[in-house]
Amino acid sequence: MQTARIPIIALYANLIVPLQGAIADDVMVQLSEDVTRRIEDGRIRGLVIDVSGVETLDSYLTKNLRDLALTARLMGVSAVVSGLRPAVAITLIEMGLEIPGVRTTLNLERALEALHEAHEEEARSLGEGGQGDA
Amino acid sequence: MPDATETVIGMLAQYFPPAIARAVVRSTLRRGGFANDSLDVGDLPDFVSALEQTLPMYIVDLERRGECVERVRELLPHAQRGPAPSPRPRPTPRENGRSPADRAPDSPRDPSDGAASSERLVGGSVRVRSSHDVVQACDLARETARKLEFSLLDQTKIATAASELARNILLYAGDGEVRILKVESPRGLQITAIDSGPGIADIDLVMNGGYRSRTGMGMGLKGAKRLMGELEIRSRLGVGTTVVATKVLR
Repeated sequence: MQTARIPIIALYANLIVPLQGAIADDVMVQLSEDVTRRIEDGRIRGLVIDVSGVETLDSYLTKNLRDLALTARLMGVSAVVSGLRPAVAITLIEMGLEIPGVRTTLNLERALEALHEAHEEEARSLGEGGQGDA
Repeated sequence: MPDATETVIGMLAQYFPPAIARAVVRSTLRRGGFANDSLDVGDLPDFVSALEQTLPMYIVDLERRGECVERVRELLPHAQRGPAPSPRPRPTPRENGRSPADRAPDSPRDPSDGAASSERLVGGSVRVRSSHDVVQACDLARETARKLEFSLLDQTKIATAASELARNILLYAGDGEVRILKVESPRGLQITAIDSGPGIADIDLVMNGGYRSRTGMGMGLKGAKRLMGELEIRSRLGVGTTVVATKVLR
């Protein structure tokens, strides 16, 4: 079976990954490869994994999403998971699952705002660092 | 009507010790919503349907289980045997006040026609051998929950639980089956996950201790129990595991 590929959208310096429906393991592996390769290019500063199209998040997929977000962060890219549906969020909590260490936002718009703020924060602290040295 | 209880217990005693055979009959009668503890010959068709649901708790091996159901089915007078045996447990709705004997002995019962059949077509089974099958089991569970008019939240919980149970099969046994069934009294949905994998050495540890993790792995059974409400595990080392999880429709 040919592996379906999840599209990755580049917007300014951000990557947006819109997840839809159920995601099989091989698709997830392919996605992780694709995302990290794009990050390696060097121009990317933020990653949004939008799960508003996902009806079911089981523990396995949740772990995979977290791993992808943490991998991106380890490569120096801010990562946000956006758009958890109410039923999905309640289900995760009921199972005792969280996504520790990963920022989540209500929707894609908030995610982009959050990334923008994070970048400005970063720029400011770099700027202050520069002034301090001078 | 002659009492068939002892005959059935006698037959099941080929598969179980007598005390277990009795327990199987008792729990089947309870699950099937039978009025009393004894079994009339006329109730046998309904009993066989109920037995198909109870038996996975007691016999893990698919072939052996199918054979056992067939043996009980053979206790029926010929005209009452109903449709050709199906490998998949299928709850047959009780026929309102109409004795099976009212049917002409040879009248064909095509399971694919009539309104009653769409009732029966709720649910199904998925062989689990790859992550794509896990997705299928999840989809089937959601679809069935939707048909049974569970709320959107409960549909999500049920679909997630099915996914956890199917994933467990894949992780620990590599091959198995997930069945989604509608159940009556109380009305609800049942997920049965069957494998002939290594079995679980310490069910208590899996359900209550050790395997706790906020990030995911090892959450399968515990998570499924929280999502479904009821979850029973039958497991024998080297033989396999059967998990039956039930969500009651509120």
